[in-house]
Amino acid sequence: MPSERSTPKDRIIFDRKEKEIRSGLEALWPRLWRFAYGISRNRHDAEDLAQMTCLKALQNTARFKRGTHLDRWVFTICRNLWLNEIRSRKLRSGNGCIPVDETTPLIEQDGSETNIFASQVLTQVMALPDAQRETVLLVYVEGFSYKEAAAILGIPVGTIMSRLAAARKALAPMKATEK
Amino acid sequence: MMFSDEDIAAYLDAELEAERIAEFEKLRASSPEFARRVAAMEVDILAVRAAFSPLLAQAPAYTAPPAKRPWAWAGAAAAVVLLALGIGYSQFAKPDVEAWQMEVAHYQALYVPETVAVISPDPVRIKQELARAEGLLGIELGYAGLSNVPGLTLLRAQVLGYEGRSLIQIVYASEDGTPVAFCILNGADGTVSETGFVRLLGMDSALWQGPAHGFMVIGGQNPELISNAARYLRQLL
Repeated sequence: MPSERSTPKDRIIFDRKEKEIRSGLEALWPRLWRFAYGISRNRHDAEDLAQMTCLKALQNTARFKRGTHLDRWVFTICRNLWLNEIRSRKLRSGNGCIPVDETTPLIEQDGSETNIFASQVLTQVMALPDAQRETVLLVYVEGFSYKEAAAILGIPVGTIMSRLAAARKALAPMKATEK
Repeated sequence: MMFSDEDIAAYLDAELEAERIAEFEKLRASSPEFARRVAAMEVDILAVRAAFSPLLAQAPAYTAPPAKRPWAWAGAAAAVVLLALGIGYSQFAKPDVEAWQMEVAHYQALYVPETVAVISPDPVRIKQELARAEGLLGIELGYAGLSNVPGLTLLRAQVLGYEGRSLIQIVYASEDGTPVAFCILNGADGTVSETGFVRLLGMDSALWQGPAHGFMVIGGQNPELISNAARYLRQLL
């Protein structure tokens, strides 16, 4: 919120920015939910996490710089919220086990080969360790550059590279089932 | 020169430093052992992407966080009423169409589904072209954002010119194969405008001005698709 001493002009700018963020969040929502699902591996958590992210983004309207790629900012918020959530769950339960949602099939099974392959790919990516998985989601699924992914995750580009090298080694064998 | 696994990943992702690429490719061609190392890290990234795209449609419905101000609710309610009455956006902002936008419309009118059906998107080339456009237009275009526009598949990006100014045309196809273009022109006069909607040469179009650039999304006859794409793109850039 604009501070008490803000001028009417500040408030107009703030309102406009908030309006833009609101409409941007709605447009980003499917991507945000997909990312939340990818990192949490659980539909219920994903929805809560994505909702919390939207709320947090709006609370931080004043900090958003227009024209600076809402998606990167929102993904950063989402991932940080998830880290906090994991930390607090660890404190509460004494361990960091997050329930993984394995009941709902992610891809409708129509028995076609393309479909079976897509489903295998998805399963393998989802089975990657957290650090590799979040990096694969940002770089390969979302299409962020190494530099952008590094900024979102708050880690050096070199770490992005080593995570992706490891993920590629883990995922490369799936080619065998492709044909 | 030695290449680490990180370098191999970077090469495969088109992120290896330009000055090391020739060396990398030379070694790959001459050393079967190195070629095997590279092959062991090859992953079909487009397949990974394709495997995750059905998830977009599985996202639960979006619920906007409540507004802090009562009048925002009134606005939302009014919008719902207008929607219920079937009053589309075209009833509102009628933008002034600039000459370049008309020119783009004429160009876009030549695009038919067959034009885009044969384009197989090459992420590496698209990224290179976007990087070139960033330099010419002085705007940061992100591949991630541009390749995730709701309802549209990114096919190609190319730099064009309009009266000595740089124009980038980003080509998309909608789910039914209709060509849609997102165009950015540099050298705007600084007047920022609201997004306006208009039908140009029979194609739905969204037009807006940023502080330094003019923007437009055009193609097909699906106002909802164009307005969603425009809204999404406007937040990104």
